[in-house]
Amino acid sequence: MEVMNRWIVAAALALAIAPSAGAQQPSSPPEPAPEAGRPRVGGFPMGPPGKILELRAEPSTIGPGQSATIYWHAVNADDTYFDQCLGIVPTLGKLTVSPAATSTYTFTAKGRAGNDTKTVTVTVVGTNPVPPSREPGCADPHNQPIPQAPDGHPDLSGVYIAGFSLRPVSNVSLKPGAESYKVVEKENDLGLGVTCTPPGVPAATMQPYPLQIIQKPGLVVILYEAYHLFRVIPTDGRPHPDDLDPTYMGNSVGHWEGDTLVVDVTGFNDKTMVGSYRHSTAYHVVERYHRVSYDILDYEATIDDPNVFAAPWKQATHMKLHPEWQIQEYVCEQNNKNYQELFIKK
Amino acid sequence: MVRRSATYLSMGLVLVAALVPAALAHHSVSMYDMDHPTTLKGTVSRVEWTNPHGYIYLEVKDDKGQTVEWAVEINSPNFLKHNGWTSTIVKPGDIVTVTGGAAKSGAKTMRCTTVVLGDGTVLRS
Repeated sequence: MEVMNRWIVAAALALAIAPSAGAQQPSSPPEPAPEAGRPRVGGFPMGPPGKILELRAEPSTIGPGQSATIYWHAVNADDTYFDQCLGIVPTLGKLTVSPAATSTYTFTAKGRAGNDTKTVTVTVVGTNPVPPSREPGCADPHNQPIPQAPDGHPDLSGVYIAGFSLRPVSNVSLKPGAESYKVVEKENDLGLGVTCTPPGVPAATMQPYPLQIIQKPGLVVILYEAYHLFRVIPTDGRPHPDDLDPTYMGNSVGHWEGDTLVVDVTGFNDKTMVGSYRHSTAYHVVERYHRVSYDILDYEATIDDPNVFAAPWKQATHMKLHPEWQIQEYVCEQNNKNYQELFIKK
Repeated sequence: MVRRSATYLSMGLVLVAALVPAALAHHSVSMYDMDHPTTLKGTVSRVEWTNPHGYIYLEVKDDKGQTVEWAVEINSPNFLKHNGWTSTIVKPGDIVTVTGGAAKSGAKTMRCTTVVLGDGTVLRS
């Protein structure tokens, strides 16, 4: 959460238009900065808009019963999908289609700063064009029902990302005498993450890398791509173990309250942060996961530490489903630079 | 080779580029001057397509005509692939333009927020 605050500060400072101190090959004329004039959302610069670099069909004309391959490539997009029941797809890929009649496929690339849409037509010789399917989930693949688990609960299983949308939704009040838990950033402080240690809860949820929820009867597992973290959360009614050793991610037990999965997390060490605060081993988090639509999972964390905060407070976010993603390997130590050395002026 | 910084040409008015928050997952940007974005154009000498961050090493001529190498930090491959990057979309020999926050210390390193490829394609990084 500390990094989130840094980000907010950086973004706030970024609101001012600033002259560049940029280096350039002297012979080259100045070029417009790619971000100039781009829209912002919530005070954050959002970068360039989504753009489709490629969309084509090979072959573009087929005979009845034959197939064509659609290729696409989009950049700067957070949501890429086709109509015609082809669904949500990665930013780069291909798929095979076998239309019975001439069909036009619409590809959409939605980005934070703008969207791009293109179409590609596969002509089937001897047929007339047919309009796109209007079946639910076909025109807009996000428009699907929430899956249900065999036990009647909503099935939360899937790959999601919250990114940096996790935010405080209530005031933070420090306990008198606990001021030292507030971390004031220094210029040469790169934060706890630079050592590749786990960020804790709920910070693990706000990483710009996805997590995967696997829901089974009596059990929920969360796999976090960043730092290769996992949480095994029994939902069979068992309590926390009595002999908890303090850990970065704590010990979790869950239960259902209606359609909401409630997870109680305790047993933390004091080596992670929440917001701009360190915490003690008395740190306690209660998470609530509620799938409000096919592709949106509401997340709320109630945060308490009687040694640090005068009262519990909350952070919340929406996590977005990415059915087209698989979580990937993320070895933080692979190329973790010696930043103190990197920043030495030579 | 990294040399003492020279005074660089101003690139005019720009907004802070897309401060892709991913950078902050691993480390803060407090050591970079994100308030005053720097734009560099140069030739890619090598690319590290690695976690927790990738790096583009860029050979840039300063106003004295001397070539200096900048270590341009980009996001992780995991993040960038979701944004349409491939491991070879930036490769040695390419001439690219990068924008981001340069190290406050004066070291030739930058937290990059956008890359403009030779064909004009703009990528958030």
